[in-house]
Amino acid sequence: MQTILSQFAFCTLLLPLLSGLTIGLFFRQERAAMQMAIAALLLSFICALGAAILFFAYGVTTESYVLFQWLELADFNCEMGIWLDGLSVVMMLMIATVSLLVHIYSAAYMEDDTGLIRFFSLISLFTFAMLQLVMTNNMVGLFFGWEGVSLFSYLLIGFYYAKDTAAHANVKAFLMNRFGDLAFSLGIVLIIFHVGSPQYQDVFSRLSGLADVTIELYGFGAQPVSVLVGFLFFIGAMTKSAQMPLHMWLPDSMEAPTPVSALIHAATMVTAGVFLLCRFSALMVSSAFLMNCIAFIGASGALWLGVLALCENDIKRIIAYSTLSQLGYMVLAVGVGAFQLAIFHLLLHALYKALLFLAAGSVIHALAHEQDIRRMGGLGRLMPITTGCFLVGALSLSGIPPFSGFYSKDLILLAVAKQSVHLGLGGYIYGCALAGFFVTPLYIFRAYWVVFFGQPRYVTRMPVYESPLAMTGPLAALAFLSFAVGFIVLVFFAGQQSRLFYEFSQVSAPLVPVQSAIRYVVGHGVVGHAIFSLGLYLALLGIAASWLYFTYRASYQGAFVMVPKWLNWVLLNGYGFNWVLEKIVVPIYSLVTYGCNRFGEQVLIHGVYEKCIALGVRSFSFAVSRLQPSYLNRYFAIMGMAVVMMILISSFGSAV
Amino acid sequence: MSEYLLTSVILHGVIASAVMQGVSRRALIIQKILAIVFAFVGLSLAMYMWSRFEPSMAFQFVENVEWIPSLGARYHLGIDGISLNLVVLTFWIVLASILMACTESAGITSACSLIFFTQAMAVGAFCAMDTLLFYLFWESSLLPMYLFIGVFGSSARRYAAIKYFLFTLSGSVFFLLATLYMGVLAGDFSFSTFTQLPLSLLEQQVLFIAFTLAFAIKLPMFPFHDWLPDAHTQAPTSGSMLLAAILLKLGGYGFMRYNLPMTPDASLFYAPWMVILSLIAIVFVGFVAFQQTDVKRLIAYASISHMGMVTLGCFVLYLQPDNVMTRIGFTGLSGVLIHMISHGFSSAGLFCAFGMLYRRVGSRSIQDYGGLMRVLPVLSGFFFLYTMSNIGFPGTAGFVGEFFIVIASMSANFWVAMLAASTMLLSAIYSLVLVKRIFYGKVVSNQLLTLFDVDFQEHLTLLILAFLVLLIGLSPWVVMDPAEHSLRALTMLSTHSKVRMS
Amino acid sequence: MMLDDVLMLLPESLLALGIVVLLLSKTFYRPRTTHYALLCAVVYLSALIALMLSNRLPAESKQILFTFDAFSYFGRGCALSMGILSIPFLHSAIRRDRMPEIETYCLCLIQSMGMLFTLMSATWISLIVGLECMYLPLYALLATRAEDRTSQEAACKYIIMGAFSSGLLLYGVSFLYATVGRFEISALSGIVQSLTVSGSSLSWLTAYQSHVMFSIGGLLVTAALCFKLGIVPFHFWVRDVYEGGSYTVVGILSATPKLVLISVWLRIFTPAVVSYIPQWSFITLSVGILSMFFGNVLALAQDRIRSLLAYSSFGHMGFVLLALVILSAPGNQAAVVYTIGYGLTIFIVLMSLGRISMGSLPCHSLEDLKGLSAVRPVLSVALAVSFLSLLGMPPFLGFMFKVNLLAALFQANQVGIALAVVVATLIGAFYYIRMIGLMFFYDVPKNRGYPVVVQSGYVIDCLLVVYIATLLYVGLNPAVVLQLMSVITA
Repeated sequence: MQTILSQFAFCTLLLPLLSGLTIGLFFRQERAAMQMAIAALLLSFICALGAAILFFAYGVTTESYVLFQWLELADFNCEMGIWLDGLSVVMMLMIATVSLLVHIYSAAYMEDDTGLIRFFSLISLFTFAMLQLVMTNNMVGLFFGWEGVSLFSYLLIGFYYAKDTAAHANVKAFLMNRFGDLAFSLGIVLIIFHVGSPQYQDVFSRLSGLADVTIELYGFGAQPVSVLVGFLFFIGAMTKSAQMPLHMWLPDSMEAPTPVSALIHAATMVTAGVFLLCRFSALMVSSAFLMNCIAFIGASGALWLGVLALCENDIKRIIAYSTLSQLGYMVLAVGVGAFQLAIFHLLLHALYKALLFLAAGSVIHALAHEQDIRRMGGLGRLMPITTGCFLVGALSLSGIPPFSGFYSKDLILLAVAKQSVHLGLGGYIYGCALAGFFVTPLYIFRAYWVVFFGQPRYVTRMPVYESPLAMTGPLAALAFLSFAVGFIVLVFFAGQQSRLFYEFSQVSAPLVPVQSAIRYVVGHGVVGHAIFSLGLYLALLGIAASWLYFTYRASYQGAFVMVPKWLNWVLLNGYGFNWVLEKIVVPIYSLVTYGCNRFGEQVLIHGVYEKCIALGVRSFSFAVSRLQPSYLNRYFAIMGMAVVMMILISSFGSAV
Repeated sequence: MSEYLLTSVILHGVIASAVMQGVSRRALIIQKILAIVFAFVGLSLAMYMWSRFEPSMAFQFVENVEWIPSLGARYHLGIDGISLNLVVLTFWIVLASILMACTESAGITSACSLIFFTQAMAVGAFCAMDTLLFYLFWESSLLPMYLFIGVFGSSARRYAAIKYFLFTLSGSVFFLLATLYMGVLAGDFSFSTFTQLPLSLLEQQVLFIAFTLAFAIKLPMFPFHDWLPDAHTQAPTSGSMLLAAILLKLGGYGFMRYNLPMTPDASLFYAPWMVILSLIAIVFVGFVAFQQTDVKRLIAYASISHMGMVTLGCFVLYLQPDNVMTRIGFTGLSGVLIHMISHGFSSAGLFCAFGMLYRRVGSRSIQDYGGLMRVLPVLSGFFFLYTMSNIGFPGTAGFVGEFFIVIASMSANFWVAMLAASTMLLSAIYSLVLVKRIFYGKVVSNQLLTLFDVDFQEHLTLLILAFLVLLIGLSPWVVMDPAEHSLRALTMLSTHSKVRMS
Repeated sequence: MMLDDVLMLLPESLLALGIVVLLLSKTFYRPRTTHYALLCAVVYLSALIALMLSNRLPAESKQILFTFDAFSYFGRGCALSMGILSIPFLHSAIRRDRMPEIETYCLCLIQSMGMLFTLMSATWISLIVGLECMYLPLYALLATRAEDRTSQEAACKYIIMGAFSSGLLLYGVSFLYATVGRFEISALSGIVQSLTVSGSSLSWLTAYQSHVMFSIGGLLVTAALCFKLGIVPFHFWVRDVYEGGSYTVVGILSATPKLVLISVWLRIFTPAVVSYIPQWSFITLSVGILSMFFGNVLALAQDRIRSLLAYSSFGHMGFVLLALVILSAPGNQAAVVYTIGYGLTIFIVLMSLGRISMGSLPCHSLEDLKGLSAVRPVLSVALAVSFLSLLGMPPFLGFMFKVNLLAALFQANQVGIALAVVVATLIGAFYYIRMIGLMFFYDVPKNRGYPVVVQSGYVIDCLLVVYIATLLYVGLNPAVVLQLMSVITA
């Protein structure tokens, strides 16, 4: 059984790599490339499914298979391979499904674009990188996946390379991720240095031992290694999962084609940060202050980034900001110690966020790449399937009971309620979480009413039709998944305290009574729990408010702006974070480098060699050569003096 | 055959150079074929040597013949893991630069003969186990490079050539003094006698400064790096490939072979200063590289910051408690070796790729390029791969060396490791901004639209270097297996103190 | 007994015979210029053969004027071979500069004879006669281009300076003779101990006065030799003489006389003598270092080739002096070897530069060297190789002899002097490299009017190729040369 499981896992991982490389290097015509990519992803999905089934059916806890030896130095032995445990299998399954659906969807969505070969090879390679990140069995492989993911997102954001904004966005995204990778790599190096080997089995066994090892930080005195590594990993996770101060690259990365945004900036890449925090939960738990910071940043991200979506007019940016706020919730869950809930929310969010993105994509596709909601409207009748799917996505996003969004968001709210009492600024954190429940339906249903109801404001040459089956098929599939998966997972798995919830994060977080939260929900049945949950009422209130504001008063021009002028400017600019980055951080960097180049290099280094040494010797030799006499009598004078000097030195020298 | 292998490897370059100079009257095709055949012959020799090399502490293929009895200098050749890798690197890079030189239309014989002569001298320097012989090869590798930059360079070539020659000469002259001092003291010039030669701390410090002067200028360490940007911007493509990939490694090899084992106490004494200098080289030069408007100058500054990593790796092993020294020192030194090899391939690749751009567009400033992704997709793909390796992207060669050096510097101090790792971010900034300006965005001038993509010969060169960059990135044991024992021996030598022994 | 003595002096007498035949040749028939060259070559060759033969004669001889040890044989061999080497260059120089054939060849023969006398002289008398016999023809040779004002000025300066130095030498020798009372130079070291005890031969001098007279005499002789070598305090004539004379004459003037002077220096200043002169090593050391630095620094500022080579000549002589100062066997060997290497190189450089300015190409300033590699490939490569050898770059001869010199300094643990030598080389590297740069990196300027790639004669090219080959071969394995020289100067 082990070998079949390992073969399934290896196929899942390596198939996207093989298809990506063959398409990229050898394929010349686009249809064949499309079919090849989809076939490979389908096979990989099936293998993932098979592996998951085998894994859960046979109750396997953790498996590790080695593919090849990367490097063997003295006692540092690094073998690349696969590490299967609850967390990685679940993530593998989610990535494979979303990636497959996005592949099918983009086959139709991208057919009028050029460079499809490049597109499909990059998307397959991205899937491989994400799977590598999730399934690898050592820290170096984790870094391979982590960097690979940011590289392929850079390449995909810059897919339309002719557009200057795309060129700017992908450099911004890669450099911000690279900043996070710097911190992340330092964390990895610290672990490898203290544990001695990068393999997961050694690392996880000695992870808890890192708490008592201290490292001398000259700025901060002796700190336990686990806290330092925790902070470094959190900085890495913050950039990768676009948390509050480092989130500016995600809205700009909407330059990428919509399927890419669906796959990368909604479902897979941005969740890598949360995955990392859950994978090394033992480190996060080691310091309460760190958990408090995580919770604070998560909560503030959940609310304030959500609020930004209220003023956005570009449909993709609205969904991007909603991703930011949902990521805030996941990080909040991690902050309060509910690692399993964060993963549960991650899985469900991936499904309905991909659904929302793809639905938005089909709208954009139908309206000939029009992204501004002010120039859409009244599409409900023309594109029934897309409208239905968008509605399903919106409902599950805002956490309405039958849909999957409710289960995870509500459990997180419960966990936060119980835990925020122990946290510093607990009130603020819980307040943000609650306000988030009200804001989320507000912005998503704003988009829903404006796009699908009211008078059509678009002007297109061809009449608007429903998207072809290749696009609506994945939409429908995602809609079903985002409806059913939440309920199925909760009831079947959470009920019997199955391994899914407890094994995949090594430590069963002592901080938060997660089990009690789940038992409470299961005990009272889903309906019972829903009646008493505060979050649900806030969500319904949000939906009603948005319906009232956008459809009932129907003053579309003014209607889009719900806030006064000056606040609108602040919100449109994302609280000035972007402005700080573009107008302050970047100019300071170029000023510093200009200083280094102008004064350090040209004046100090070049100047010293040019002016002092070369010119000095030159002018000294010219001066001395001018001293040379050319008259005979002066020769005799000097020579006579020289001979006399010699004799004087000789006679008196002995005395000296 | 194997006992004269090293002499034949060195002689191959000299013969090839002579033959190429002789055949200058013949047709261009014959010259090209001959040059490429010679390059492949040399490469097969190197690969044969690599296959015959069994990894062990001792030196292999040793040749030891009387040379100058009055001074006690012997014609003593031998190769161990470190020099084997560098020799193989030399032959691969010479193959690539010969292929690149053959793309010129005019007479290529003198260019190829200079390349082969530099290769012979560099290989000689890597194989020499006698210090005076090393100095002879080291200095004579200076000559062909001076002529190469001077004759085939672009506008300000004369200034750059003289500057290159004087900088390197002023360093290596002090190295000669130090060698002669130790040689006269010990009566013999071979490495083993020098490493066992008991020296007082003051002697070691003076010798350390003399060695450091020579290798710091050659490596270009921070304060002495002023010659490299000029040399690279003026040198022709194959010239700067040779310079960046092989001749800079002579400096790094010198540090590993002379500074650490022969003057261990002085290295311990000066280690903090050297680490500070290399950290400045990494951070400061990373900032300066960002401001460059000339592409080759930018790549040159990138090489300086990479070489800063090399010196950091060499001297970081002295900065932490004694008990950990050998284990971590070994990681540091293996990181240094891999980083030298990988920088050789990636910077040669970068120069090669930009050389092809330069051949088509004819200008080095970034403003004249833009939106070439649409016009030259294959070339931009390869350029991007080499930039990734230059940044230190995992999976390519650049990552492995940096990773091990950061591990070693982590043992010394967290902030040292952080500054060392900051090269990841700084190199990413200037490299990606460069790629964005050249390949992304709108096509700048319609002259760029008429460019033709890479032909077969260029494609072959780029493929060779790309294969090597990925090979080392994905399976670094190729470099590390032969070198592991000799690196361990080197760590042992450089950590035992000589003063107590005398 | 008589026959042995005559055979001993056969080379010199053959040269004298050659001079006489050459002078009388005009009376019998009108020979063409090549005949003179051939005659001169025959004379030199026969002298060389005679030298080889006389080497096997029994060494014991009652001669008091001359010594016949290995060093003098080697020196005389060198002088004769340099003479042979100069003939092809002289031949073409005569045709180009319209120098009188007979007189030039005669002067060269006289000069060689003078050198032979000096090299084997044992007593002061023969030494001074030999030196004068060597230098007088050089004054005359310098003035052969009568119509050119600068060469007249140079000749006058050279004569006056030569007279001054010879006067100085004679004055010093008289002091030495007064105190020692014997003519033999070797007697100096033998008798010097007795001086302190019994006083000098002149009864009225006390021990102290004789010591002072001896040291003053020694210093005067040192000053005279330094003057002739062109060391710093006495270097003023060198630039004007080099600038005045034509390349060929300057070549003859600068190459072999330096070797002769070094051998004379070795013969006179043995460690015993030197220990008796207080502060001698300090004076010579400071003079050597001064000349090394001044030579290289001044050379940087020159833009004419010959004055640049003049200044670099007393840079190199400074190195040799430093090797002589340490008074050790390897030091002497290094000095002699370095002088031979330098002499050979500078001779070929000046002679081949003479070749370039043949016909319409005046080649006096550095700018004229531009683009030479395109016009005269073999010549420019020979020049480049010799500049690199003068600089001390590894694959060539200069490097090995410089390393030999530095090793000798280290053996006498003079680390400070070695550092000075190295720093001076560094300063000097710039102008050598600039000249190579001028030749190879520039293309031919329009106004030079080079017609077509003019091959500079078949004989000279072969000579140059052989010369490059020797430089490379000796540069790569100098063991044979160093071994031979250490035996000779032991």
